[in-house]
Amino acid sequence: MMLGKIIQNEERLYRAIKRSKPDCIKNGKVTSALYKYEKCGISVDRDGGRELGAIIVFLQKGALSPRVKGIAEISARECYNAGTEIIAAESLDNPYHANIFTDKENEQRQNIQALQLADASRIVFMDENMEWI
Amino acid sequence: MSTYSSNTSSINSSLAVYENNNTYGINNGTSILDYHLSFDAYHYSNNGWITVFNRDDSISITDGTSEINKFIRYISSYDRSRMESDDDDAENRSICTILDIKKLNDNWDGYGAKAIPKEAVNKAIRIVMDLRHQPDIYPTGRQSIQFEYELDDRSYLEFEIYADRITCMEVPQRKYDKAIFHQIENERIDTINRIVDGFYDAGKDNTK
Repeated sequence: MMLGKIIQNEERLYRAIKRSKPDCIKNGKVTSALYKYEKCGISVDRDGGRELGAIIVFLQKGALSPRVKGIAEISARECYNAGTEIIAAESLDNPYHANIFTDKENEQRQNIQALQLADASRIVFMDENMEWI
Repeated sequence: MSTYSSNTSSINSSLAVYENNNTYGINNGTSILDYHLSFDAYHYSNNGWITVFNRDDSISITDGTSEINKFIRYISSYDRSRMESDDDDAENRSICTILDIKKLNDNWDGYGAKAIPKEAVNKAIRIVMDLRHQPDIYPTGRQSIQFEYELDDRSYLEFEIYADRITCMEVPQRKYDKAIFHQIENERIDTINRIVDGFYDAGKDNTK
């Protein structure tokens, strides 16, 4: 399936949360720490017209396999409302890949945007019993 | 043992640090452990752990039973049982969380995040030991440690601890356009405590 380069408001974006100790999940929601990154943007997967179940399975089999503890969902509209940019970045392995970019020039703005993204996110998958292997 | 009797600090009869010419030993009441320790300062937590600031800028926590990656936790059997039964000791939980963050390797998040630098880890530990209110603590993907506070009215306060600086953002009642950014210079714990106290005081006012 060929996805358009422009990410529409209605699209939904998914970020896998690797099992780690500690992780970036607080009381069933994500914290803004999940959306703080150094250079390359926040990696997400576009929904690409898929059902949620298929998206979860795809992420579980992806680069974080087998350590996906949770998956956070956010709409593209919420990202745009927060003033972030979303750039499609498909690869051979992942045609759904995209990056969210917060304000590169203004750290204070970045921090607000990270909080806005966290507040607008919801966790759509959680494996509380993810084993430590 | 007598060579370590020149300068002794203790918090109870079974737990003490002995000093002799800048060399230290830790005594559990029956024997001296790690008497060759060399460090700049130490700090007793309220439940009997001893945190040691080493000269190489690392931090050790002693427990007297084993040394794991230079992080030793020293505690007498009495204090150990007390610690294990005390779920309310927020300071210890904070320290444990930060020590867990220290163990995170490169790519800990699966998206290429780098490990958190030891300077940030040590700074975070020093801060939580002096905080009056303990935060929720998380690693970020940009080599920092995030302290978070949140009130019932959704007011939000965060400190981000980097190796070389600390940032602070306060968002009253999640009104993003009202965000306040505080300056934290030189890891000033009094400044941090003042900001946190003010955050909680404002929260009380909002509930009146």
